[in-house]
Amino acid sequence: MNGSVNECLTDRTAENQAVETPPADPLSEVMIESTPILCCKDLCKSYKKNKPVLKDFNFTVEAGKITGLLGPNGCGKSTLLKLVSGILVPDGGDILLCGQKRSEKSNALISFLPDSPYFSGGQRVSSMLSYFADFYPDFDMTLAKNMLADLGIDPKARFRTLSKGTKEKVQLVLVMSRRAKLYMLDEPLGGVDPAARDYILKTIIGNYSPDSAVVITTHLISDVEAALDDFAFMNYGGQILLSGSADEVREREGKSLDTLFREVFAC
Amino acid sequence: MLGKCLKYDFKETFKLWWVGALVSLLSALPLSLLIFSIMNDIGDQSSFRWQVFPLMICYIGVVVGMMISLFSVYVRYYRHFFGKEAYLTFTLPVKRTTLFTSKYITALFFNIASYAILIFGMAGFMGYAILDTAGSGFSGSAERESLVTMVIVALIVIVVYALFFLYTISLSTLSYFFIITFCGVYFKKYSLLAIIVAFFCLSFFGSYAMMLPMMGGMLGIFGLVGLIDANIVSMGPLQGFALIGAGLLLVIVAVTALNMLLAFLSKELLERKLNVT
Repeated sequence: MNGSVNECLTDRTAENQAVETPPADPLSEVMIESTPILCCKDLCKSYKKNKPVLKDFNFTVEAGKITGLLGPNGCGKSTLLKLVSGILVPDGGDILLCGQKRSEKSNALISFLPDSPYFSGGQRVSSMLSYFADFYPDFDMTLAKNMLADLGIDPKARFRTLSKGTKEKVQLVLVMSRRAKLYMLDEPLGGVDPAARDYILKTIIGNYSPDSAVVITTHLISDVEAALDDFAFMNYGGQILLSGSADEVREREGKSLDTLFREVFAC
Repeated sequence: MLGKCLKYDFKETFKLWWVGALVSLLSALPLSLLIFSIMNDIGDQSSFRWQVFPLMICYIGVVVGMMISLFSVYVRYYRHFFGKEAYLTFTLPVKRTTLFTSKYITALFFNIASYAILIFGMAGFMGYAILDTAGSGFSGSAERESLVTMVIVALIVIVVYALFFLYTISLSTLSYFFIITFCGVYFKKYSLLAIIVAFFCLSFFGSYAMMLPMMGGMLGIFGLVGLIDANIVSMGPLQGFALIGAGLLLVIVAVTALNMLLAFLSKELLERKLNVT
């Protein structure tokens, strides 16, 4: 079956080689290319009765794209990422990952960065690396160690001794050191200093691969704007007000996404 | 994946468990010596007075140590499934059934280890008590009972008690797991308070509920002995053993079913209802 979980799990190199090889059936090649990494169909979620956070929400993320999910506080951005990563159970609708319905197996395809730290204070950074290496076969230990060295983080340090920003950096290093199909980053720059933001953005862009996708939610639009291929302005109830290619909108409107966001969501 | 889950569950649980186990062991050793000393000095008021206070301290130490070591598995369960670690737990490419099974095996191991530590600490007193009971309780009757029969009966008692002990630990573990899961799923931010209240209730009433099968069995045996004595029922030793065996089997089946039900309900809640917020 096209775009199955097993296909998505195959090694990147093998996939690249497969792309270079002329396809036996041109129709099947078109179908593989057109299968989005993430597809949400009529997704519904509410925490309280009659107060839906997401209602009949439809959203698609194509491979090879960095998509910015932008919207005001409480519009359901984090809820969407949690639903896709399996932390929340949807009330209705479907979530398809690489063409397959979301299941526990799909977690192997997703690298999720939540908006709060999830490690216990007593753990060392090095033990977190081992933990990820044990559970995720696609975890690149060398890349993680290099990134920690670049950011000046001691792998022997305990989590409780790190500052808020450093904790976020460590989690981002862990998440970005995986060879996942879908990276979902919830406020990755929130507590990080401007110098480190540049490094993180470089890392996100550097991780670009034609067969994987990145979804970023943030309020620091001006910081991430340069990195975004696509964007979606999300309003309360999970309405998509505006979406498309970031470059096209900038050209058409003659404004940056940050300016456009301020206009669309002006209070 | 179960092996990897067990590796981290054992590692994380041990971090809290060893503190309780150490307190328990260090309190149990002097406690057994004090009890031994008091039993030897019965009637001696002057030595009794200075022994009572340290005895109480050691007893409290044993209780606190046991509570820490026993509850360390539930702390791990709560933190991993309902604490901030849940963000990582439920994004691992591991089935929730596997995560639950790993927690269950870890809990059984550490609970048995907690009791083993306590028994080891109290070994001195227990050895004395057993020898004392054997010396007084069986005097005179040893002529009637052959040594082989005594050993067989003792082995049956040990096996039945070990089985009962294992089932009690398993049932209490799964009951606590279910309580944590239920409160975590439905009480959300008040889950910790709800868990504490439910734990208290279960510890209070559950301990009596768990005694019911044993008390029922004992009442049944006494009733049967009464019926035999009154010549209402006639029964040979073989039939008697078969009846007791059937009763035990019934209890095992019932407790196994209850264990499975609790495990199933917890797993279903984790898979279908859990929203980590």
